[in-house]
Amino acid sequence: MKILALAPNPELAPHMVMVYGMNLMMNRFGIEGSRFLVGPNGLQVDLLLAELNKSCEAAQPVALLGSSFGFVELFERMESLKLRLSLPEGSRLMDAGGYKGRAREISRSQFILWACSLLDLPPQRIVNLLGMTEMASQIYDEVVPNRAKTPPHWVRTLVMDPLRRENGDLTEVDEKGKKGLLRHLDLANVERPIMIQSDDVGTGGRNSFEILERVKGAEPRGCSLTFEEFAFGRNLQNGAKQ
Amino acid sequence: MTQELPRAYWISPEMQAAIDSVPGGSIRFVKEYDRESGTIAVDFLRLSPEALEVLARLLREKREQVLARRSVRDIVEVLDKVAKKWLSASYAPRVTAIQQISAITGFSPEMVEHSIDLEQVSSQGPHLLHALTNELGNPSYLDDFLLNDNLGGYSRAVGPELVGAIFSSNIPALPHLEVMRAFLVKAACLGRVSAGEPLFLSLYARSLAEIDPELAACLAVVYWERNDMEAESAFLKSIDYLVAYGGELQTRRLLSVKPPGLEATWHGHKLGFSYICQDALSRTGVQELARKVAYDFSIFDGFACLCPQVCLVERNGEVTPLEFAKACSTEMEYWARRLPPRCLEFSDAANKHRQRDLLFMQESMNDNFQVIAAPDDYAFTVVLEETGRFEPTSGDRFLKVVPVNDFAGVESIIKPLGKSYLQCAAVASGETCFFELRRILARWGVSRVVSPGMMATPSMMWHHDGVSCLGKMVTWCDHELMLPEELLGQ
Repeated sequence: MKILALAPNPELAPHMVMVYGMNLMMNRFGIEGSRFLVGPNGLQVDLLLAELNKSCEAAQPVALLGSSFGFVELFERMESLKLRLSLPEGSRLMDAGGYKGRAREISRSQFILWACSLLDLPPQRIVNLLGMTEMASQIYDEVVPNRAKTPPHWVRTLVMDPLRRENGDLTEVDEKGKKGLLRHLDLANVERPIMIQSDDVGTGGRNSFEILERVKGAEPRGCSLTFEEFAFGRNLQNGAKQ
Repeated sequence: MTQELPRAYWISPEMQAAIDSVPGGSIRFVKEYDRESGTIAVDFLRLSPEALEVLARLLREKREQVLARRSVRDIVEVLDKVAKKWLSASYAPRVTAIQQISAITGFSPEMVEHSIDLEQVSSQGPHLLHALTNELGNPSYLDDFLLNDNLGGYSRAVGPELVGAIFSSNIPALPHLEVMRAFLVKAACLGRVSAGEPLFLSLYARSLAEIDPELAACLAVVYWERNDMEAESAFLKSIDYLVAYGGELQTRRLLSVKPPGLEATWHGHKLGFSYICQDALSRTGVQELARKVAYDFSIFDGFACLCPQVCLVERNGEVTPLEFAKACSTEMEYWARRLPPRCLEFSDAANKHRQRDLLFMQESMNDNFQVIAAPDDYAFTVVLEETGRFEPTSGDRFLKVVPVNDFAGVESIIKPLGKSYLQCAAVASGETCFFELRRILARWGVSRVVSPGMMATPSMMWHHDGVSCLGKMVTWCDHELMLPEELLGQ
């Protein structure tokens, strides 16, 4: 299948695990025309659009893989160009990584709505991957009937309540459906810590869970300086002296 | 009957009517605060730029009719009555304030109540008159020309007509300080509440109106969003003097947009510290000293410029820095019971949890770092760190003890902060070295030196952030009767 990766190629990003994985996939499953589409100056949106057009004309299904914020960039460009594509039957999309402050945060349903309407993909062909450098396993969302993430059977995901800490550790949320911090236990993490406490806020637990958002950073309060502001102020001061 | 929402604004009824007659002049809107404890809706008032200008004009007129015709002692008397009301535990608005401010800010009711007491004690008449005397020589200079012996003639102090205030929110029940300061120099006051704690001022204004509606009419408190440049610009153009609280970015931005002639007092981010000399570390007094230091670190949960960021403890005393840190952790626990810490929101707790894990990780990897106390409920944290570097804390009662060999150690950590950040130093030391210490601290830019336990209770007489806040607002007119050589008998 033709694979288009909204990610830099392995030469540009030799240490990115996501790129490594995509490269493996491309080598194994990709056909001619598969390529990486992030250059030294960021996502090559025009090139990507040209590739998508090519696929449409050739009625050749395409698999789009990439970072969530890369897709947002693509969708925003398509919106501004008032462009809509109808990707050939069998096309699919997989995004990963969340937004990490790189693009405006959008909800999962908004993302899916966007992908459906701009690329004419059926919702069940849009899948999100949760992967972490710290975790050997990957967790995909169920595309039907809901979007909950189902970990493989060697991974347990717990929903921890940050407001209830006992003996130096968090406890699990006390009622089902209550939001908490996701904690993954991954038995595939050989010779590395198997338990990973994330900053993802979610609900559910054990066999399926949903990610709601990232924990909001500690908001600066009062007169106590945040480190950033402090550094910012000092830089300004130093700048003024020079 | 629908219950009235807590209000984030105050305008006298008469001025409200005038504002309402400006087309599109005022918009009331409800802001909802989602808290772990529930949702609180607050009624805000936003004015159009035109309405703000009208309001400023009306406030100036009111000032002429009221403040300008009153003696400063009359004004002080009213402010004193308001403070006395607020100091009474059964005063209904006080009870409301404790409940509502606590719900909105997360501060415990005990902390809000304690804060009201601290602030209102120093808002009483004698404190206000003393503050004026401290900065002007004699409060009556504000009433008329008064004999000035030093001048050999008469002097008169004239305040601005309208003081504009950008209020703070980090210390509960403090924002009225700027209203009092404006009134003390006979200026009307127009201000923007902070969304962080928007309620105290309207409650205070209503108390003022109960006692003296005319004086209360010289105050207007409204709101506009931070990015509402038009409202901000109308505000800055309408006032004679600006008093602004806020962070680095806000201050720099206001500086760049304010009219060049508009004078201002800025209260930006400030940092304080405690310094415990070895001669203060006797075994007998250690727990008492620790209790005072712990109070400084606990008050306002560490979210105020008055709160210390680090406790520097000299080595080689009878008590080691480690022992002192342990004594402090017992006392932090004491204060956590007396003045319970704030109620954490989900994201606060998540961040605290992460911080905790990092602290323990740091402890396991770094021989110079020790976690002394970190209770599961995040009530406070005490750590001991050998470091030569200053780092601001994240608040929530974070007490970091840093051992130093001597004053040179303090210098290398604190002095680089410079005048623009340094504020309050709590020093425990023997008398001999203290006098030299405070000379040096003053040179570095420290604007307040106290004993531990006093950091949160500055007097009205303190030159707030090193500034004569009242003195700076007035302009003097001197009537000279003698030639300089006659005056000094030469």
